[in-house]
Amino acid sequence: MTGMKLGQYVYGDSLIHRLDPRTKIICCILAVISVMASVNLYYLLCLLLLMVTAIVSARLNPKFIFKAIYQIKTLLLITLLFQAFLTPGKAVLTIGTITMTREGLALGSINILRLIILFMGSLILLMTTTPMKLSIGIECILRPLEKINIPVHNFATILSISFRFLPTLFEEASIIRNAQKSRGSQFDSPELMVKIKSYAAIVIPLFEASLSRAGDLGEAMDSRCYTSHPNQLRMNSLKMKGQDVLALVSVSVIVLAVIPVSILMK
Amino acid sequence: MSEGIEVINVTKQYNVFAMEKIEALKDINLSISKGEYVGLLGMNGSGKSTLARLFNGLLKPTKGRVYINGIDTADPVNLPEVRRLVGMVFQNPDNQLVCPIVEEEIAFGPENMELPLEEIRRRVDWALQVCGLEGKRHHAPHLLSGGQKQMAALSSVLAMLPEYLVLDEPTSMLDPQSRRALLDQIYKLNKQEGITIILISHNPEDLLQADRLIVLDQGSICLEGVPRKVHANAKIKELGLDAPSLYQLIDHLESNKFPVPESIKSIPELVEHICLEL
Amino acid sequence: MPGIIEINHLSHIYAEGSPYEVEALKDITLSLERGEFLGLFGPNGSGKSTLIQHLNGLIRPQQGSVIVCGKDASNSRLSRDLWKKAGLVFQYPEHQIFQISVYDEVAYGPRNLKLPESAVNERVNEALQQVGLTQENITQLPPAALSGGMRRRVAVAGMLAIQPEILILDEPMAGMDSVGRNMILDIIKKRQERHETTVMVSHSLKEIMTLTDKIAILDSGSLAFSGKVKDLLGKPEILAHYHFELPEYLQIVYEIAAKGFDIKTDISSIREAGEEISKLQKIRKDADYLLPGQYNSW
Ligand SMILES: Nc1ncnc2c1ncn2[C@@H]1O[C@H](COP(=O)(O)OP(=O)(O)O)[C@@H](O)[C@H]1O
Ligand SMILES: Nc1ncnc2c1ncn2[C@@H]1O[C@H](COP(=O)(O)OP(=O)(O)O)[C@@H](O)[C@H]1O
Ligand SMILES: [Mg+2]
Ligand SMILES: [Mg+2]
Repeated sequence: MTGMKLGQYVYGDSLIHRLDPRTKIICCILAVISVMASVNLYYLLCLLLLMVTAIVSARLNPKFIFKAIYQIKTLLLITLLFQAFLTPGKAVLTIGTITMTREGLALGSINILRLIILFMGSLILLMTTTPMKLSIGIECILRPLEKINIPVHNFATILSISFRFLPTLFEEASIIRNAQKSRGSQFDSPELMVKIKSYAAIVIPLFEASLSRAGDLGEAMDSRCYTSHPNQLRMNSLKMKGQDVLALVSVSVIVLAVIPVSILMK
Repeated sequence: MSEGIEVINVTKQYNVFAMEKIEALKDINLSISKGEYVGLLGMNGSGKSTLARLFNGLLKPTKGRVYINGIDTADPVNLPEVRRLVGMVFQNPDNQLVCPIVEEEIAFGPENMELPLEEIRRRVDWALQVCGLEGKRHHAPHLLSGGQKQMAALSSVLAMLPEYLVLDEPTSMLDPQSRRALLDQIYKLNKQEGITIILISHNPEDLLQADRLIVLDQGSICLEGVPRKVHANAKIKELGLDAPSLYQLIDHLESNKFPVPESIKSIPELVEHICLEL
Repeated sequence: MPGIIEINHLSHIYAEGSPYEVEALKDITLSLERGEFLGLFGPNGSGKSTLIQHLNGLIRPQQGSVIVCGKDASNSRLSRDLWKKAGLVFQYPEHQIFQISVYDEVAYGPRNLKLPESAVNERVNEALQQVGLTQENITQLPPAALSGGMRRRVAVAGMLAIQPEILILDEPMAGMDSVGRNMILDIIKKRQERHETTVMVSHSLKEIMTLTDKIAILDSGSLAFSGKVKDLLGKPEILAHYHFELPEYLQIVYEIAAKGFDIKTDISSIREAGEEISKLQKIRKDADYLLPGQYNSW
């Protein structure tokens, strides 16, 4: 369950929360591009500052962000070590046949910085946007793909039904678990067979319930003339406002700055 | 074109496993005219849900025909029109709400009918207001109570402006307050909006407000008529369906030489009558 | 002598410290004697399910104490085995069935008690008998082949086979037709005759008021009422506030009384109500006969 908490939406009412999900998604994509395109330390520090500003203005708990970054520490460490040992250059440390180089360390640090920036960006997106808004945003952005016969709408329907029923499913699972415990199921038994049987007592009814729900849902949708047809009200529930334009323009400027910066720094 | 619902010689069989067949409905004949409030009563397994699903073409009759305003439900071409005419509310409030937000749920039907956005907005506003759900417009369905979920299901059907409303045991999973609210709402829709109601229940108390009661037993219609007449029939007790206590009380009063007019259908009406007589 | 259930100043908070915190129970004090039947009422979300999950050890008390059959539910070692003493049947138990045959399903509890197979067999048959599933070959059928009402019976039998000292039912009659409802009421009546304890969460006062020894009403986690049915009937403001549906005959008699007629309200059947109303009419007619015209001034 602790895994689920990572990047979970946190209710809030800041400027960042109020931005259109499309704005936030596009900003994130822009950030990814600029992070990929640049190796300049100062430029990356600028982006880091941008992320920190976003976190502060969204009033996210910094402690939580640090904790989240700490959770990917192994990934960061591996990146650093790989770069440090595999990049040729001036040796700092030699272990057997492999050597750690100064250039490698520098490159590794920059890559860590890049990863952290990307990670922070996606955390900000997830923590300030409800899953529903996020999926509408993705659907709107992918909309043009319908022109080349990719069924974006069906995909979006599946996504939205999952969002609708995920909480119900969790609730159901916890009720069934408690009900089986009341009949003596031992979920913490040391015997493997007993344990497996106990979990079967959850999974089977859960599966049955989902099947019957799928049947019911099908009937309810058919009764209301379901056709796989884009959802106008949903599409129109999003509105770009002044703040969105402002955010997009400023992020674009920062991102585009990568070009002159990298030319100048050469 | 004839208005109303016509069920003509309908038999419905289910195939279970390879060979076995269950006859859920046997040679049903039934007609329901526009504006009626019909109660469909029967024990679990008597075929009520099967009949309900025949009304809007979710099921096709094995034999016989079902006509809605003269339109044959067995022809797939007619299905969109049939389903617009006949709205369905089901038993389980959780399993009939499809969308992650109440407002979208109500727009679901009109969206599928490919109405213009303005019209969709108007209908959503109207349906929310009729069912008293304005405050829940932007909520997620799983955060509503059972009664509110069922109201949301009702209003999502109303947004399609159906002429007939079929409700399959809509109250059986609700607490008493929500049940009362839903029944009052249904009555209001019948009287004020003129929507024809077919309310299904295994509980006779739910069907007190119906103009006509149809009792199903093992796939056949075994009794039909004004609720008080139906409950006065000895046959209904054999089915295990106790008369609503209101009627039992009226029976006792009448056997004590205290006549009660047939028009009385609710407790306040009876109390008023008694007080006038006293 | 202490009761079979002793709840003292019990409070419970879900997800404490998070933005989703819910105070589900607030300072509940309640007790029940052996052999009594408690009816637990309250609107949706008032904490009924939370309260009964304390009784069989699923939730351990955060604050206050719960003692069931003399065992302290806050002791983790004792509360683990509480399910054997207090059998809790959840809402819609037919959705928790998972075995391939009715027999195995009902036998699941007794087998978890580590009883020998012969004893299990005996208990299964007895339990199926109690819920009225007496057809010859029913034990070998897959539960999936049964209707919803039948599956509910199988699930209830599964708990009865554990033979708990306290049977706790969470809205067992929801969605059942009259035959199924009467089956549940019969089980409770038989338990009362055998001096066994039952707790039932319900929404329908009129259905169980003639059986209950005690009624408790929860509202937003607090105990709004606890006492005998008689005491509750004497509190019309509580009845009205929680939209309790009294039996129709009582509603009518109360309303007639409220209109200023002198009618006996302490009655317990439809027949009596009919008689009372007719009596009133007779008095009225006699009076009319003696003093014509007097009632215009009423
Ligand atoms: N999908 C199905 N497949 C096979 N048999 C079914 C199916 N649906 C219903 N039945 C059977 O048809 C009969 C009538 O069921 P139903 O219409 O659901 O009754 P009710 O709604 O009155 O409880 C029952 O015997 C039931 O077992
Ligand atoms: N596992 C849980 N986690 C968080 N909140 C819960 C949980 N279970 C119940 N609640 C909340 O506690 C309150 C009481 O719930 P419950 O005991 O289920 O009430 P009832 O059974 O009377 O409907 C409700 O507000 C409900 O949302
Ligand atoms: Mg049914
Ligand atoms: Mg509950």
